[in-house]
Amino acid sequence: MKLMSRLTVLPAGWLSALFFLSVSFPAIAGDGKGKGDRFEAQLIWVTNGAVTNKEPKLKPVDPEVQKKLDELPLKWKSYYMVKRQSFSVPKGGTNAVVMSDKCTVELKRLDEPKVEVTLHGKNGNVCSKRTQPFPKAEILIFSGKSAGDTAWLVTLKRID
Amino acid sequence: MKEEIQLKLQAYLDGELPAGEVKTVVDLLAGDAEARELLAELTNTRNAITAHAGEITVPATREFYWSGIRREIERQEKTAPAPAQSASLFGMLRRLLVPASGVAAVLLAVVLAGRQFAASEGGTFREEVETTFEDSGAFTYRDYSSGTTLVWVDYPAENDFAEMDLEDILEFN
Repeated sequence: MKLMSRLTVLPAGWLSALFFLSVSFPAIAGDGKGKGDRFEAQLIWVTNGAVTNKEPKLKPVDPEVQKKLDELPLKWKSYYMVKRQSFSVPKGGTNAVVMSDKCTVELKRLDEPKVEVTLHGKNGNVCSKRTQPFPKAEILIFSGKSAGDTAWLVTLKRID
Repeated sequence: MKEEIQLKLQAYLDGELPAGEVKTVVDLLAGDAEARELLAELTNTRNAITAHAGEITVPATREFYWSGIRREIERQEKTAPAPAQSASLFGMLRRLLVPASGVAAVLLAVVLAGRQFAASEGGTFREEVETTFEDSGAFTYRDYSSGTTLVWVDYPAENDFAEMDLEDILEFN
């Protein structure tokens, strides 16, 4: 009886978790390529220190984003892309992408061209929520301090 | 014929020509038929005017006549301010309202131009932005020229989003 109950409860629990995740964060369940306008999020790590290149995760930042970053009055010298995620959001819909274990970006499309962007931190806590027009040329950057003289950036842009 | 010669002929006829130029005009008349014709025509015209113009006589001496005109002018000048005093309230309002309306028009133009400029420079963007920060220490920087918005979140550094192991990456001296 115990075995039977375990066999029924466990899959039910997993299915519930998967259902929750797919509803909350569809990009986690799928590849993020659905119908709707496409967006791209980049998790960027910035530093003034000398990098040894031992970390294989570090890649150059997208040139378009790099150009925008260069125009900002930021103090850091080096920008490295940790992760890039593109995802689709249908009109009036919501989608989210996980950039790291501690960072998830959620985007909700409102009346065009407005969007609501929510930055989730550790344990899904909401760090920031922002509503603004978001046409194609626009770039939204969330940023914060990391350990030492480093920082993280999460850039968001509309691809098409 | 030159206009200068015509004027000299007119002056000669009126007796207003300087003595030094009379001989020149006489010599001209002696040798220029056109000048003689013009002088004759001018003479006839003057004669016709003087012959038919009515003579007006003033029933007073010249000094008394002109002093009367002067007194009338002075009387009108003295009585002129009276209507202005009767309409002083309207005048004061007008004196106040005319420059005030001018200033208001300029201010309105400046405000409208400012709003137009703000809209073209992203005023619409500003009006449509809503930010609900869970972290009150966050601030936003907006670069309108590049269309970039930077939101600095005052999130604890130990919750490093990028999860970088600095010892593996950075060269610590």
